[in-house]
Amino acid sequence: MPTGWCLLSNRKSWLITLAGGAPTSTGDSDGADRTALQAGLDLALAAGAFGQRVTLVFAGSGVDLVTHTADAEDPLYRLLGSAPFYDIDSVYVLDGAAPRSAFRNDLQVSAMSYDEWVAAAGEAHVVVNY
Amino acid sequence: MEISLIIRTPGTAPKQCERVQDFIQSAVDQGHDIKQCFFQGAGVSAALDDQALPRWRQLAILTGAELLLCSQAVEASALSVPEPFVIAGLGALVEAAVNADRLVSFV
Repeated sequence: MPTGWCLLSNRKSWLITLAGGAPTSTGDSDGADRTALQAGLDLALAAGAFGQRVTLVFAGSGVDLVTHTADAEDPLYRLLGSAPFYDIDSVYVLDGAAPRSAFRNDLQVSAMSYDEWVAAAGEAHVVVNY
Repeated sequence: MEISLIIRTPGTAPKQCERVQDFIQSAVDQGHDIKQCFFQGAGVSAALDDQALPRWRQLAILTGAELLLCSQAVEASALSVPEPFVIAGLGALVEAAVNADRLVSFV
């Protein structure tokens, strides 16, 4: 059996939503659970590195990572900037979470409606929220 | 059905940890296979909690599942890892998610 066929058969679609969870004692001043954001982003990049189709959606506290108003030297912000190297070419922001004019320029960021998000969850093989 | 789990439940929430263990027991009782439990972030401390450890050992024997601790969290906390837990990277989680019928996440 050709190796390429095996690789394709293991290629699943993933929907990973990064919202930062509820504010916790480990949260930063904005209440974001950066541990959750880091863990979710790490998983997204790992899945991309293993040839998975990853749809990455930002909501809640995670939206800071896709707006140009955030600290560009922030390690998570910079890590997200490497997403295209893991075949994650575009990322999404849940509608209304941030104005389009605020989206960072070094990534292809698009708005996603709640209906589209629900539909994406229905179509994905793996759905994980962080 | 083959099920893999991501467990991020902190050790400071023992009731939630018990719920994860109850879920595993119930899934097995209903004929499902638990293939892997991947403990990530704060979930690593929950796995190694003295109170929870004996039941994790029982569940490991019952299910034959891999009990994997995220290498990043283990290194960050400089934890020692008792059996049946094994240190693993996110690649193992991705592989399990691809092969499982369901991936269930506990926070």
